Formats: sequence, C-alpha cells, structure tokens
Amino acid sequence: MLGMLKAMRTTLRHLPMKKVTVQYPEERERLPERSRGLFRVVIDPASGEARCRACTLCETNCPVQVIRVNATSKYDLPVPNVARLAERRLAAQPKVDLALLQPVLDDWYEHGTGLIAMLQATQEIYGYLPRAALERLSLQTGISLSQIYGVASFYNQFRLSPVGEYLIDVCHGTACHVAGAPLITAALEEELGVPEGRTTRDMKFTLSSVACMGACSQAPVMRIGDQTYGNLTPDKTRRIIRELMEKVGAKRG
Amino acid sequence: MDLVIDILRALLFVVIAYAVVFVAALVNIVFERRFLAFMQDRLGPNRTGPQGLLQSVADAFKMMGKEDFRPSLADPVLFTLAPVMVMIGAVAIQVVLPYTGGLVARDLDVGLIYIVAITGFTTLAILTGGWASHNKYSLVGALRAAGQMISYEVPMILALLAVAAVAGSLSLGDLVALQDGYRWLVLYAPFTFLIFYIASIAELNRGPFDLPESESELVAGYGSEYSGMRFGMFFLNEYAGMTIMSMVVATLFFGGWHGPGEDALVFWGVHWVGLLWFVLKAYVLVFALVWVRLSLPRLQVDQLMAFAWKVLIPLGLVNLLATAAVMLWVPRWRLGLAVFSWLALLAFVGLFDPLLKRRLRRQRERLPVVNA
Repeated sequence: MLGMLKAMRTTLRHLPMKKVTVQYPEERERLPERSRGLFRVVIDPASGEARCRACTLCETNCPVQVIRVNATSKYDLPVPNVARLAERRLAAQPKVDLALLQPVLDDWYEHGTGLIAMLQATQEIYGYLPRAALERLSLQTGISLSQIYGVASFYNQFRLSPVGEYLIDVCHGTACHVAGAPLITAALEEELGVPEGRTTRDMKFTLSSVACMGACSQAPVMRIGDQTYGNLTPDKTRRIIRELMEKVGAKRG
Repeated sequence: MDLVIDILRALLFVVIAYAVVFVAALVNIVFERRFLAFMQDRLGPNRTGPQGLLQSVADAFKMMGKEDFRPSLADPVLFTLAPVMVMIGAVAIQVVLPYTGGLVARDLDVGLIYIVAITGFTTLAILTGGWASHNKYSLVGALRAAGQMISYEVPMILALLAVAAVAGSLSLGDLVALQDGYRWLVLYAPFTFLIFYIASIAELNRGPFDLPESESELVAGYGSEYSGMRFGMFFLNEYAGMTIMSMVVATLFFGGWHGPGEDALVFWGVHWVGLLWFVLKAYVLVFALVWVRLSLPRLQVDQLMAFAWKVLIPLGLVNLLATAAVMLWVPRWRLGLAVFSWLALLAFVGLFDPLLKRRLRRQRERLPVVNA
C-alpha cells in the first residue's frame, strides 16, 4: 500500500511539471548551435529536378567542412570522380619533347619490337610514361591507346605520372605488414611531408608501396632506388631518410 | 392532475439521467486523456476546440459515422441488445442519487440495495455481449469480466452494509442528512470507504483492475466483435460509470451535496449551490480514478481474485462486524467508529506491503529449485 502511495505521489508531482511536447508548426525547437541536421537535396515538385544548382556556397561556408559538392550536368556522361582526378593529373603533366621518342618508333618500324619493350624504352627516356608519348605511340603503331594503357597499368614497372629522382618503395606484403610496415610508411610520410603515392615538390622523392619484394626474412623492408634496407624500425627509417635528404639537399614537402 | 405532474417529473428525470450519462462520458474522456497526458509530461489532445474540449464530440461523430457491422454468426437480437442494456446501470442508478437538496428522482427506502441490484446490470450486459458475439475470445473476456465484477460486488456490498449499519437506514436521503454539518462518513469510517472505493474501481473495470479490457494485452476482451457506435456504447458506459460511481461515493462518504453556502441559492425547491458542490466532489473523485489508473500497474488474474476473496472480503466482514459492534455498544459511536476505522486503515496501509512481501518470499521458497 505504501508503495502504491509512493507511485501515486510520483505521478502527482508530474502533473504541474513542464510538458515536453513541442507544438510543432507553431513552436519549433531551438537547435544547438553546431547542429548539422541532415543533408538533403530538395526536389522541386514542379519539375521533379533537384533545386540544388551546385553553387558550392554550402561547401564553402560549412563550418565543419563535411560537405563536398560533386556536380555533374545531366547532359554529361557520368564521369567517375577517379577518372576526373586522373584527367586533371594528366593535364598537369609537363610538356614532353616527342622528338626523343623517334628512336623507339624507328626500332618498331625496323624490328617490329613488342609493346612492352617499347614502353620500357619510353620510360627510360622520360622517366615515366607521358600521356603525349603514349598517344604518339598509339598513332604510329596502330595499337589502341586503351590497349597500351592496359599493359602500362598492369605492370608495376611502368609509371604513368612523373616520379622523383629517388623512388621509395615500402614493402606491404604480409610479413612486412605484420612486422610494422604501416608504421614505416607513416614515418616516411612525416619525414617527407607527402602522403603515400605522391612525389615531393622538388621532385626528389616518390613514396610508394609494393605488395612484396621477396625479402620477408628481413621484414619490414623498403627500397630506395636500388638500395634495399631491412629490419626497419620507424626510428631507423627516419635516420636513413634524413641522411639521404641531407645528402641530396631535399626539403620537406 | 397529480398523475400528469408525476409523468412530467419522471420524464424530466429520465432526460436528466441520460444527459448526465452522455455529458459525463464525453467530458470524462477528455478529462482523462488530458490529465493522463499531464501526468506523463505530455499535453494530450488540445487541437479540437478550446484546449481540446471538443475532442470527445469529434470522436462521438466518428463513431456514429462508422459502418454498423454485425458478424454473420452473432446472435442478432442479443448482439444488438447488449450495448443498449449496458447503459441501463448508469442511467437507472441515478433514480436514487440526490444530486442536490430537492433534486432527486425518488428517494427509495431501499436505496443502497437498489444501487447494488442495478450495478449488476452492467455485468449482465457484458456477458450478453460476449456470448452474442459468437467468438471465443469475446466469451472468455466476458466471463473474466463477469467473474471480476461478481467477486468485487461482495466486498462492495459488505462496505455498503457497514454504511447502512452506521446510518441505520438504506435511504440515500437519510445518509446525506446524517452527514450534514461536515460530519462526512469518510472522516470517521475511512476504512469502509477504502474497501468500497477499491471494490468500485474493480466494478468499473478500471486500472489497476482493467483486466477485462487491458488494451495493451488483450483484443479488447468482450468488446472484440463490437465496432462503431455499438462499441461506443460500451465505451460511453465505462466513462459515464466513472462519474456515476464517483457520485455514489460522494453521496455515501463525502456528504453528498452538502457544502459551504449550500442554502445560498434556492429556487424551485432546489439547492443550486449544493449541486455545484456535488459535481465538484464527484469530479475530485473522478480525478482520483484517473490518478490511480495512471499510477498503478495492472494486476494478474490470480492476484485480482486473491485480492478480492482473500483480502477485501475478510476485511469487509471484520469491518462490518466491528462497525455493527460499535453502533450497538458504544454510546459515543462516532468517536468509537473513528478510532477503529482509522486504526484499521493505518494497519492496512502499513502492514500490506510487508505481509505481501513475506508471502511472496515464502511462495518463492516453496518453488522447486531448478538447476538449468
């Protein structure tokens, strides 16, 4: 009985309390200052199209920078973002002297060289495979550009963008991964000031990773140019890369 | 001439009785929904009319607009009759209710017995409805309801007998007269009041005794097959019952229509301020019903029956005997009754929890140990 009275006291106390109901259309809850709510593209009921005109004002103004506007016209073919990025990268490639390519083409005319050999020769000339050079090859040999691209992107030895003077490959094979390869990459990224897969601005170093170097016994392993370093620790890696940077006069970033 | 006046009088009171039932039901539904909401920190219905007061009116029109559906296998006569019959209790009980001084249909000499007899009608109507629906769930629900109402009628009658013993009369008019001058029965017989009140809540099928309906668990019990206005009649009766029962309780224990300034406004031989007091008291009690329903969890069937037969009826008997003894042998019977009744009430309130706990613990100890 006392328990019941207690329950009844509780309910009675709630009688004059402030109610939690918000009378929606008339009252609106004040949102917290940093509330982001939900993102939604409003569809115009008249036309059935999005009201968003991709002005990117929201992207510019977003205080927490969580908005990215990727606009495409509905008249465009859908271009995946990756392709678009690649396009931009291609456009940023330096102009190359296509006259240097002539020996390669001559060789093909005379001996009927294979595609891989031609690509190897091209890379030897430019240090990577410039888009312009590949286009020239395609025009001259009749091999379609996509086929060339297929071969070039299949083999790890071919590079489609300019690389630094020193190519740093960190092994991310199973053994190296277990032995701490991610830490090695992280240390290199910090020392060089560039993320994995990119080249420093002075074109001295390119940081990349490979699947396996076949040196699991010395895991973790990295290779700078032709030199291979094993049994790495982050500290050891830093020491090596600092020495090298000093030697070639490279700067961070 | 007398006959014509009598007939007109009778018609007037029939109109009043029906008006009370319908108005009370409509008011109570809004009243309950709003107050339940307030106690749950909500607002409740507040859109239809000022403060949502017209919500029940809208609901009633909705009910009336619905299809008049009858299951093909249902008993056509009884199925139609039950919703009509269910109103009889609420309407007919008002014959003996003194709304205020000078406003009572007929102050019967056997008023209390009449009340008990008429209350039984609701049980009958519910059983009829459950049976006529030709649905086993309806029937089971109706039997449950009937079982509950018959069980709780016993402590109710025992409490009423104690009241009759105090008043020395079965007439409600005498009872109200006895309580004039603020000598409300509840002040010196609170234990009788408690027994009566608990039993009356069970009679009304309201929480925590709302097993026949238990809207959160069953398919509405005896009302499963009813829809539209037929269902509305059961619903209406239930909510009108809140007011009617509260009026009975107000008459029996809270001095009826007596209150300050009761003689201030008298014309046509009716104490109009008294009417105000009567309604006010009734609505305080209706609020208590709403309050109890919200606060207390529903009982199990076995608990419900055990509470009626093992707790309320023995206590009602003891209370009746003690009251009778006081009335017989104690010269200052009001004081004597007050001492007994308050002590009994305090003992009941204080001892209920520990005794129940001990009982439950013993039951648990008797259970076989299961090593899972």
